[in-house]
Amino acid sequence: MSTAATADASSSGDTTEGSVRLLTLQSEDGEVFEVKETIATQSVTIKGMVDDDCATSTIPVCNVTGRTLAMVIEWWNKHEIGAVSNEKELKEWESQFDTIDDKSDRDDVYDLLMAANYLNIPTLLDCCTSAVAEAIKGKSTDEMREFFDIKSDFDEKEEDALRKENQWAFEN
Amino acid sequence: MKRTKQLPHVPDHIILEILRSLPGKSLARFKCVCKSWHSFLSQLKYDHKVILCSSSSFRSVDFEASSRNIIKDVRLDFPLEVGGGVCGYTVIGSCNGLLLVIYDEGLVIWNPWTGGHKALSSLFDPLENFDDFGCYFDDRFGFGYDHSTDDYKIVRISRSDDNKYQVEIYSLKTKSCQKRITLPWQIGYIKRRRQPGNFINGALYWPIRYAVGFESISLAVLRFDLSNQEFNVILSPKEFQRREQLGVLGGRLCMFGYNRENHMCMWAMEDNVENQNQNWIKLLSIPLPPLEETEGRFLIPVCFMNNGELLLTTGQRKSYIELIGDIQEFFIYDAEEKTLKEMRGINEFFTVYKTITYTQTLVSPLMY
Repeated sequence: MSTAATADASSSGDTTEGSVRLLTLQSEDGEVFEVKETIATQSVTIKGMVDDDCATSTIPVCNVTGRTLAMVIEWWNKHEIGAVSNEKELKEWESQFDTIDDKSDRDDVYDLLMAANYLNIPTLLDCCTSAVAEAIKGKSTDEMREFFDIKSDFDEKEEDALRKENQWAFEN
Repeated sequence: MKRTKQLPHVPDHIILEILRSLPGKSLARFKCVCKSWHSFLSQLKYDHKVILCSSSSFRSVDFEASSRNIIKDVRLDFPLEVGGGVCGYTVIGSCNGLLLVIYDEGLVIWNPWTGGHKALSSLFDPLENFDDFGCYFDDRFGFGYDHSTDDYKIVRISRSDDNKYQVEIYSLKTKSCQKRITLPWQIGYIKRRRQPGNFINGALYWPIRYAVGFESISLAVLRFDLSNQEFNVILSPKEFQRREQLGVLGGRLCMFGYNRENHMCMWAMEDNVENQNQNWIKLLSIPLPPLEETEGRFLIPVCFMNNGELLLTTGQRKSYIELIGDIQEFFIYDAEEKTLKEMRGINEFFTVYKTITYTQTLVSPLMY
């Protein structure tokens, strides 16, 4: 094969990634990202668009801010096959999502969760749900209502009875 | 810059996904958050798990999530202080995710997943019928759920002075003994307490010997219907020669043991046919030579995996006291190649003496 020799002289131009196609994603607040197709198709939603040939122009990613989309792309890069040499390194990197210490952390994980849901990225969704689970497992019922913005529809009597039934779960 | 925006509405399916990965104790608490969570969490069901018991601790094993080389297990903390009794504690029943455990202070109903428990010290005097070692040496137990009255019942079978079996049926709701029955003389040897009654479809089952006429003694199953509180006897398949036991596998009552050719065989009782002896169907027979090393080792089926493969463990005939000895090995039976594949990874210092299958539920023992 002599393709390497012939390509050498002329093709220093448009695609630096060789034959890999770049997709253009635009966040809700107008930020534009160029992402390798092989990476972006970790999103089932985007993969569907690529398969249907609908990914030729800019893809609007509504409901996801530029800040969050940048985090999503970082996730994709880390999870591209061959990008991280070993499982342990990946787990360490992922562990930053495991702790939700303050409100801004919580907002980040929340945003990622919604983005993972919208873009349908199973690995990211799993990671975010377990991060949230880890963060809420010790919470009281009132804190849970606040966290998920839920109003109790039990009357006082019903709630008392339920608490009694599960009394050990409220200890320490 | 900190953002102070309102949280977006999280779709229900994501909330459910999050809840699914929480520990039982948190879920029991979160049942009180709102009505829709309560109904979702009350119906939440998981695959069955296996609990391994030693005389001093419990481990829950998820064989579905385990691979051949790594058995995934977690330690379960028994909620009560156990004193210096020789016997530690023994599980004498498993039903709807609740275990009935006997220990030196009496009985306790325990949901090992959520940690909820209820001591039953008032139900009957724990010291009555204890032998010198502090064990209920001679009593047999059963623990089951009666749908018709939404009640859990404990059946205790003890030998009376005239060598007949006395049965007492306790109700958890009324906290009292509801019925006393003397079993007919034909019902002979009922296996000991390490093999409690098996609960399935509203009834409890124990393996027994049954006298047919005055001359022949047959292997049989004693059935107790929890709603009408009646006993009846079902004769067993004739194939078994030794080591026969009962278990609930794949949602059916199964009898397994060794036949004349030394094959481990397994029969299942067909649903809703409770009389006579035509109601058994043969599920499988494992044509393997007896296990090596020690002569007394034998196979005991534990459960069917989701893919239909059979998980087995081993028992060993020890002394005259118990049929089941120390169990340390687990195998998957490959029906095509007719071989046993060993699963490894259980802590080698953990001496398993009993395996119990259960399903994780959020049933609270305090409701009864």
